[in-house]
Amino acid sequence: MRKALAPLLITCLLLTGCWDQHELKKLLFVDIVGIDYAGDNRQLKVNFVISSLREANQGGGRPSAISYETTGVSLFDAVANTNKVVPGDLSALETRLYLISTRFAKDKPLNILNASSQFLSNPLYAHLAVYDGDLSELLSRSKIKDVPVSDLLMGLLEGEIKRGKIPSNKLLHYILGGTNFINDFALNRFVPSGEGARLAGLALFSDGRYTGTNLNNEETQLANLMNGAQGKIQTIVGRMDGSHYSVLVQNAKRKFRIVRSGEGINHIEVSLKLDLKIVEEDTELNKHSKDVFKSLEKTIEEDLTSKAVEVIATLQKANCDYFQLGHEVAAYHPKLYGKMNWRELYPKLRIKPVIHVNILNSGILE
Amino acid sequence: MIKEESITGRQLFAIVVMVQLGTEVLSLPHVEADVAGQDTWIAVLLSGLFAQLGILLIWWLGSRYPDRNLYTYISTIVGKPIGLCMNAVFGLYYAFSGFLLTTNYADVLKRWMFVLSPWWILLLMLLIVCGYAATSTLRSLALISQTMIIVPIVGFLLITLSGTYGFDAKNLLPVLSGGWNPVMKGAYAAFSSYVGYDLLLYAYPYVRSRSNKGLLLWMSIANAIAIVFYVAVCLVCSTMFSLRQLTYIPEPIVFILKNYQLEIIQSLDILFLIFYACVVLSTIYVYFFLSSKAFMHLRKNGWGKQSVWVWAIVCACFAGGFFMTKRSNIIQVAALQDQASVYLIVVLPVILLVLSTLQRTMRNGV
Repeated sequence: MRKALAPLLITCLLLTGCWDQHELKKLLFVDIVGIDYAGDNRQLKVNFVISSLREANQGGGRPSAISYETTGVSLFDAVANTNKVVPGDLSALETRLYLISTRFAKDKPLNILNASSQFLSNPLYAHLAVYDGDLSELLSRSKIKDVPVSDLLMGLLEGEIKRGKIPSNKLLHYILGGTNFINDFALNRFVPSGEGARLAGLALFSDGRYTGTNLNNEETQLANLMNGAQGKIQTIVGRMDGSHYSVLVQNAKRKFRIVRSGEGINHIEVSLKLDLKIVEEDTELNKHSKDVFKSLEKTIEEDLTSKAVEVIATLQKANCDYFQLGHEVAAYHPKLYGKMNWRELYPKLRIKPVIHVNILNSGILE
Repeated sequence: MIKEESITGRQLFAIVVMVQLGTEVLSLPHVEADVAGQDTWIAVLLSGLFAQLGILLIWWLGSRYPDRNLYTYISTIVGKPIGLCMNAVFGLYYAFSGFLLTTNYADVLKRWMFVLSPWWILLLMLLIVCGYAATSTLRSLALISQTMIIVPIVGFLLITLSGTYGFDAKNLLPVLSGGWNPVMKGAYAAFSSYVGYDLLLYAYPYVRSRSNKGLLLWMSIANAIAIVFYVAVCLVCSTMFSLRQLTYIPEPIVFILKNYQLEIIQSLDILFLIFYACVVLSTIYVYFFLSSKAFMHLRKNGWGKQSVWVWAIVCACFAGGFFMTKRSNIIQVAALQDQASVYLIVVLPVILLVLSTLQRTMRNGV
C-alpha cells in the first residue's frame, strides 16, 4: 500500500505546473531596459529591447532585437502599458542592462530602480549604466553595423570589465539601499559615437544624484585600480620626457591609511602598489638594465601620481566619495566619524595618493 | 514503552543536522539585521553555543533515564496527571511547529515562484509528503535524512562560493558598536534556528552508541555543523549586502544566488528554493513524527495508531493553513513559537533535571 502511494506523492510535486507554467514561445526576453523622462514631466519613458533568435530552425539562427517604447509613472506601470500593445509576456529572466539617461540619473534614479527587485525571475546580475545622449533613438535601432544593439552595448561593457578597465556596476549592488552608507557611486557611461555608442568613462553620483561630472577613460582605469580592482593585464599608456611608455598591470594592491591629528583627520593616504610589465618605452628598442628599470619605475610613479591627484581632485570637486572613504573612517574610527559631517568634510579633506611601481619584467623581450 | 527501532550515532547526527537547518537559513540574516546589526554573526555564534548548553542539559537528563524517552519518564518526575498534560503540550507544540514551518515555506514558494498556484495546493503538496514520511519509524526518518544531507552540503558550497562575487568586510565593522545588548537580543532571535536538537529528548534511548559520551559527541558535531552553516550564511550576507538591504530583503540568500551568471544553468535561485524543500521537509516530518509519538504516549500502552495521529495532525494543519495567508500573521505566530521553544526545550528540561535530582537525593536520604 505504502509503495503504491509513493509514486502518487511524487506526482503531487508536479501539480504546480498546472498554474505556474511559462510557455517559452510566449515569453519576450527583455535584454535592455532603457529609462528616461518623457517630456518635461516626471512620467517615465521606458524602452524595452527584446532579443530573440529568428530562423533558429535553419541552423545557427539570426539574432534580432526589437525595441518597444512606452510611458508610465513607474516601472510596473510601463510593463503593464507595454503588455497592452505587445502580444506575449515580458520576462526579465535574461535582462542584462539597465541603461538610464543623464536627465533621469540626476533625479535619484535608484528610488525608481528599487522596483526592479520585485520582477519575478529577475536574475539581478544586470548591469547599470548611464547613456549621455538620446536613449530612445539609440535603443530604437535594431542593429548597429549588423550587430544587435544589446549585443553591442553588453559586448563593450563585458569586454572592458574583463580587462579590468572599468568597474562592474551590477544592479543588485545599488538597489534597496545598497549604497546606503555613503550614497556616492560611479556608473559606466556611454556616449553617442558614429552610428552607435562607445564607452566614455564614469559618471559620478553624489548623494544618489548624477553630478554631471565625469571621469574620462584613462582616469576611469586609474580610479578603478585605486578602488581595489585586481591586476588583469590592463594597459597603461603614459608620457615621459617627451616620449611615451606602455605598461601592463600584473598585480595591483590598494590600501587606505587614515592619519589622525587630535580629534580630526590630518589626511588619508590612498596607497596603490603596482607590479608592471613594461612592453614599450620610447620608439627605439632599448635593452633594459637594473638601473634603467629603477629610473623607469620612478618616472612612471611620478606620472601616475600626478594623474591620481587629478582623479581625486575631480571626485572631491563633485563631492563623490567613490572610494567609500567615509565608510572606511566609520568602520575603523567610529567615534571620530560620529562627530563629523562627512558630506561637508569630504571635499576639503587631504587625500594623498601614494603610488609604488615595481617593474617585474619587460614582457617577452629583454 | 511503545516499541521503536534503534538508530546509530551517525544516523542521529544526520537527522539532527537536517532538523536544525530549516527555513531560517533563508531568512536569518534578515531577521538579525534589525536586531543585531553588523554583529549578526556574533549573535548567531553565541546562540549556537547556548544550543550546545541545551544539548548538554538534555543529554544529562536523558542519561538519568537511559532506557526511556521523555514522554515516559516525565510522569515519573512530575506525576502522572501533569506528565500526561505535558505530553499533550509537547504534542501540540510539535504539531504547531510543523504547521508553522509548512506555512512559512509555502509562503516563500508562493512569493518567489508559484504566484498563480493556489495556496491550498502548495500546503497540500507539502503536508501530504511530510505526513507520509512521518508515519515511518525513527530509523526510516534517519535513513531519509542521511540521503538528503547532500542537499545542504551543495547549498552551503553555493552560498559560500557566492562570497567570491565581491564582498566588503567593512560591513562587519565596527564590532560591538551598540554593546552586548543587541547581540544578546540577536542571540535570542537566532535560537529558534538551532531548535531541533530537542529530538534527543525522544531519541536518547534508541541510539546505539558505544558509550554515553559518544552520543553527546554526535550531537555536538551536528550542532557545530549547524553553527558553521548559520554563521557562514550570516557572514556572506553581511559582507555582500548593506545593513539597509538586509532589512528590506526577507530572503537574502535567494538574492545572492540571483547573482550567479552561468551559461548552462538559468536561475540558480529557483533551483535552490525547490531543492531546499528536502531540508525543510526533513524538519517538518520529524516534528509531525514527534507530535504523533507525544499523543500516543497519553496512555501507558499507547493511545491509537501513529499513522492515525499523523494524518489527523496533517488535516488540522491543512485546515489551519487557510487562516495563515497573510505573511504578517505567520511572523506574529512565529514569535509565539520562539517563546514556546525556549520554555519547552530549555526551561522545562532544567526543571525536570532539578526535580529528578531532588527525588534522587530524597530517595537516597530515606
